[in-house]
This record gives sequence, structure tokens and C-alpha cells, in this order.
Amino acid sequence: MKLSNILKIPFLGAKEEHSLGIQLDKNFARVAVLEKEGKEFILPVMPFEVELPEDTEQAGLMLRDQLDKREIKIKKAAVSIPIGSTLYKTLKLPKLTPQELEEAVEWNIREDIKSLKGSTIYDYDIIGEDENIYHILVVIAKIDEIEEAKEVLYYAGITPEIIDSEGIALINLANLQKEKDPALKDETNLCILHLDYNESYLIFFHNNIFVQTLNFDAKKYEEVAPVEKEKIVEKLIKEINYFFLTISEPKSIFTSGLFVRFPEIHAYMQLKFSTRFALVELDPAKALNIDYSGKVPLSLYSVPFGLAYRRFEDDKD
Amino acid sequence: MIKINLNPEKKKTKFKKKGISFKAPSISLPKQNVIYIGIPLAVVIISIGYYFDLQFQIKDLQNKKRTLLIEKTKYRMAKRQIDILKSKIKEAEIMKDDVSIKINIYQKLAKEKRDFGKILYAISVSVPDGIWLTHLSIARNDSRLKGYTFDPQYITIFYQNLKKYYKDIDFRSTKRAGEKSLVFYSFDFNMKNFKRAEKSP
Repeated sequence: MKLSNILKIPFLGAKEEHSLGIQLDKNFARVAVLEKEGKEFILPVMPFEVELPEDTEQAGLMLRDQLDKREIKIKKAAVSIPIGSTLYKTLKLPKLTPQELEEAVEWNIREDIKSLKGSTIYDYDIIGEDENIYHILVVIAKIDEIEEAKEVLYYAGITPEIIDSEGIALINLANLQKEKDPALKDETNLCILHLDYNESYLIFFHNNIFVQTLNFDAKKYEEVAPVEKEKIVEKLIKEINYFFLTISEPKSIFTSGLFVRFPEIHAYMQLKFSTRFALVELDPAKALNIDYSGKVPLSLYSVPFGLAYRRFEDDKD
Repeated sequence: MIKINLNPEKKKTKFKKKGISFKAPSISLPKQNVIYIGIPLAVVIISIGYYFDLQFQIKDLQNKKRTLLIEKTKYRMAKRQIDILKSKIKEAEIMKDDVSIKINIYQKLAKEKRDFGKILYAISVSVPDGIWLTHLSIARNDSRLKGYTFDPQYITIFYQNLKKYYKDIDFRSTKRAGEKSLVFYSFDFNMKNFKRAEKSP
């Protein structure tokens, strides 16, 4: 045991050196743990994916079981809910006092909240500013879906310190990688292409956020013949082209999620996009400067790594 | 970094409320005006006491809130389990209805089912030598036999044999046919009400 661990006095407010990020979806969870030593990030445990049953209690217990197997004792976590469970809205507001800003946000999203059935919760953050204007991102979610996620975590014995939208976790990680990569540093627009089992989407971020859901069924894709696979990717490319008809194109697009399971999609898309876009793998190892030489690509776990990183950043406040 | 937190319990307001700034009262009053010092001091002491009391109450309420939240989660889970059970009961009832419909159909089919083996046996043992059949039709309620014989006496034997098995036998026709040198008789029996009790092999 490390001496630092023995001398640690928790009630004096010592910051946790480990951070747990959980991407919680309807039927699966992806978990990543980050350890911080000084300014360096270490991977103490390999990230993992666990299939979850529909029942929240069973799902929570299953998650707990997988955490126990890996001896992960961290009780607090940053958790994400699916992007489909959240609504993004960007606002341009004058530079008001914080209290006025809060009131202005509430006033501006009142119609969006009304349009959603049931109770909702929202949070916002300033994502950019011009001379007299703040660009504000508001994320709205249904309380029921938050409660459901909390139920799973309750049975898993985890306290959700942060509940975020998975799209935001991806943006945070992609921003980090962009800053570290000299080839991407000057890129003003951030674009992420995320493929997943339940939802695939394209996020565009620049003083504004656009989310375009993509028609991609991973399970069906796995089963069809190569010719059909090509057609599916062609459709994806068409959807991406359609998206950029009205939005200024970035030079590079980050790829995340199931791209690591289907490298041929990445290769085929790059071939089709040619020099128009450079597809860059959103790699937590690169974004967080993790010394990692394992064969398992971490890109599948971009969301939980983005969340785990977020927790460290939150602790700074 | 974009910092969004949708956890209702952890959500912070984006602006920090100014903390209660506490300044020690400066004492610049003359000594004889003790009352002017005593009253504010007492107010301050009472305020501090009240503040701490409120803090304890808040902590207590927060603990209660947490307990209630856990309870709420448990009740929600129980409710969900009940809903699942209800839906399972509904499914089971639908299944039960399906099964009872099928049982009724099977029972009806069983009633409709007829063992023609007994009838065939009855006819086969009833046919005497000297009778040859040209037509045999067996149905649920009635059977029909047509044939020929050289001697009408065999028709009578045949009739009597069949009578052991059938309650009603209707002679539809018996006709004499052929020429003088070769005379034969046709018959047409219509039989109803097969005696079920009659033993067969």
C-alpha cells in the first residue's frame, strides 16, 4: 500500500485520485476508471462493457457484480444518459449578471419544457462569448429518465455525482484531443461521428450544437453480406453529406464508438470523403495523454473516459 | 469544458450567493453606554445560535430527504414489480382463454369423431355367402348398402344380421332382374341408428 494512501485523511477534503465514468444506456453500460498522479492520467483498470437487463434492480446488481470482479471500490461516479434522452438548446444572451442569466435561461426554455411531457430538469453552461453576448448551452432531460438511471446506480451502490448527456462527454474529450493535436488545434468547428448499438449520431459544435441522428443498426450491419454493408455505409455518407449542406464543413471529423469494431466503415468513409474530411479516431489515450500500449482500442469507451475526466475537472471548482 | 449536471440533488446554481459577511462590531462607544453594546451583542449571539440551530435543522432535513428518496426508490421498484406481475397475470389470463378455447375445440372434435371400424366390422360379419355388394356408403348418421343376390332368402338373412347392429333398416327397394334363364335380385338398404353397445372385436 502506498504511503500516500495511508496518510490520506478523507474528512479534510482530500481529492479523490480515482474517477469513475459510466455510460449508461438502455441495455448496456460502459465503464472506465481514471487515476490521476500529479498531472498524469493512468489507466488502473481496463474499461469494460456490460450488458444490462431491463429491470433496474437486476441491471444495478449486474453492474455492481462487474465492478466487484475488477475490485473497483469507487462509490461516486460521473454518469451519462443517452443523447436521445436529452434535448440541447443553444441561446444567445447578453452578458447579464449570473442571477439574471439564470432567469433569462429559464424564460427562454419555457416553451421547450412545456413541449416535453412530464417533469423535466435542465442545466446550462456558457460555451462561448462574443463582445456583449454569451453563447449558452442548455441541456434538458426528463426527470423520469434521470430517476431510472439513478435507480440502476442505487442498486449498483454508486452515487451519481454528475449526470451528464453522453454527447457533452464526447465533446469535452474531443476538445481535449483537439487541443493536444497540432494538426487539429486550429479547427474552429468540432464534429464527432458516434456509432453505437442504440443510437448513432453526428454532433457539430461551434458556439452552437447540432445533433443529427444517423440511421445505423449495428446488429443488422453485423449480419448482412459485404455488398449490403457497403450500401449501409453509403447511406451513412449520404446522411453526413446532407447534414453539411447547411453547415460550414470542418476539416476533420472525430470518429467514436463502434468505429473500432467496424474499421472497414472508417476506411470506406475516408475513401469516399477523400481530402474533404480527415477522419480522426477520438482516442481517450491521446486526449488524456495516457501511456497505453494495449491492443484493445479505447475509442469505444470515449464517453466513460470523457465522464471520468469531467469528474476530475469538477473537483477543481 | 462544458459542465452540465442533470442530477437534481447535485445541481448547483450557476451564480454563487454571497456568503454572510460577518464583521466584528467595532467598539467605539463610551463606557457608560454599555447598553448600546450589550443589546447588539446579545442580538448577534442569538443570531449565531439561531444560525447554528437552522444548520442542524437543515442537516436533519437533508438526512430525512435522503432517507425518503431511498424509500421512494424502493417503492418505485416495488410498483414496477407489481406492474410487471400484473402484466404477467394478464398474459396468463389471455393464455388461459386461448387454452380453454383449444380445449373446447378438441372436445368438440372428439365428439364429432366417429369410429367407423365398428360399422365396417358389423357389415362385414353380416354379409352372408350369396350376397355381393355393389355400393357401400357409411356416414355418421346413416349407411347405405346396395347389392345383388341370386336368392332373396339371402337378403332376408342379410337383413336379420344387420338388424343386430342397426335399429332401423329401411328396405328402399328389392327388384327382380335378369332374364328367365338367369334371375337375380337387387336390394337397397338404408340403415340408421347404429347400436353402439354391440360388441365388435
